[in-house]
Amino acid sequence: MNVNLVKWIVAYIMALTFLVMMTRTVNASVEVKADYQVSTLVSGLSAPWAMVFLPDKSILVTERSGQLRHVRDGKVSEPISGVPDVYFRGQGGLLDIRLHPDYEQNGWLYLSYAHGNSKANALRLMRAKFQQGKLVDQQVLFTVTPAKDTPVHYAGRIAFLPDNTLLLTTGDGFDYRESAQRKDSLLGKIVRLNDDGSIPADNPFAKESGANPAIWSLGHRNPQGLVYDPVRKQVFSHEHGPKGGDEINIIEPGKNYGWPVITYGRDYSGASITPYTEYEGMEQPLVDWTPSIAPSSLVVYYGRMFPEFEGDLLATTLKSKELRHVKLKGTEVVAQASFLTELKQRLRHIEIDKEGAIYLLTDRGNLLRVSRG
Amino acid sequence: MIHCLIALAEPDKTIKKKRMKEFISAWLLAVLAAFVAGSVAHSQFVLADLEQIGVSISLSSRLSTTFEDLVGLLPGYGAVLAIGFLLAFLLAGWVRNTFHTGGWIFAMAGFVAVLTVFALMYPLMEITLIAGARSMAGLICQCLAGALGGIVFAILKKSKGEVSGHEC
Repeated sequence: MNVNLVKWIVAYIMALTFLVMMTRTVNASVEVKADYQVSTLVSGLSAPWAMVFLPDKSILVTERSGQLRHVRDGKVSEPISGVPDVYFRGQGGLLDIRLHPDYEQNGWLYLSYAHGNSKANALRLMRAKFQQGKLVDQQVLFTVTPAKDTPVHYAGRIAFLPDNTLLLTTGDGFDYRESAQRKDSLLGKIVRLNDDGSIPADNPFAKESGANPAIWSLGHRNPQGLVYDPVRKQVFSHEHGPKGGDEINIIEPGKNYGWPVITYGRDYSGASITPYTEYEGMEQPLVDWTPSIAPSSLVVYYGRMFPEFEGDLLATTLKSKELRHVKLKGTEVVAQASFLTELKQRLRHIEIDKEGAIYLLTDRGNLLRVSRG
Repeated sequence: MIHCLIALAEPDKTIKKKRMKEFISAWLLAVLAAFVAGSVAHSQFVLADLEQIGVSISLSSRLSTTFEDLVGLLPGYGAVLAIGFLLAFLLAGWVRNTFHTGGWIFAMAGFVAVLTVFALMYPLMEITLIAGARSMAGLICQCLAGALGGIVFAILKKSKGEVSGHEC
């Protein structure tokens, strides 16, 4: 090969490398990929788990270690006072945050968190008002029973329904997986509560003897995605399987989603969970992810910035470090695609703002904004 | 234990090789016996837990699950048992030679080895990784499987004619 040509190629590659390095150095917090932009709004959060937009467009972020922080104009507040003590261990701590649908009138915000100690702990739901930079009027609304002695599988996602009742996902506690099938236990369930924590009289098992009246659906493992789709008028949830067997389900009252009687996953040890992938009276998942991607939160996208996502499910993932786009036609899954894999970060939580921009919390402590235009 | 290590490192290459082979074959068969017993026990406890919540388990499902667990658990649980037994039998051999105990020391070593394995695994995530050992009865069955492994080891060593001296 011509020596001069080789020199030119080497020089060209070096120049390109230099340009890329300069770009990263000049503005490390902004990456332009394809036709969307990823901006780092905040970094240095401690294990952020969930976030919510306030009416003034500022953001409240929960940190699993027990702090609630107010993010406004890229600045992070000191920990907000009035947050309850949490059991911060394993997967436990301060978890989800949601605003009441009538927040602007009543001011209630809802928090889920692990409560207790190593011998007896449980998922708990409380509500409070955010006034003058602190939480006031705290009310503990609900505690999952029975308590357990493992610091994992709390689930903890909150979603409001149009009738202002709320759904709360609970985990199976890992060592208590069979409890997900027991109607006298709240482990491994989705429960439905009134906004004051009382139990609606029209819950599916409210009149069944021996059943906990709070149960809305059963047979769940560790559901960390929960969203009400106002267009389809349906509830979608996803849950972590063991090794394989992550699922998206359409949640309907009174239905049994099968864990641990049916699953496409295997135990971490390599052993079977069950002989069955199907069983009478138990629902098949809308989506099965085997091998696992570890889905951590879920939205149905409605917004103008990303019309290609309109009405589809977007799930953040931990293991596969992506935003998983699940394309729906009605309630049928027609395609799936990975998005934002170039970030190479465990994505913990997703929210969509009114303009359709995507906000993400990552396990590296970042709050990212993905936007277009 | 030092005796055992010395025995394994004896200058006489023929004796050394023979003893090494005997030790390894006894150890591997002991691991195999404990693993099979432990895996089968695990499967039965898990299936019993499913039956308790109203799931019907046919004989063919029981057999296929038990077999699948043998295959599924082998790389992880089998390897952990192998390491645990190696250390436990070396230690038990030293105890036996030092205090002139009977072969029962290997059964105890197997029992304690499995118990130790579970005690060490639990703090990793504060969960029980072998689901069949979540109950006390299930855990004891795993430990008894370990004891069975120890008995197999003791019998095999005895059958090789090494009842005193440097065996371990």
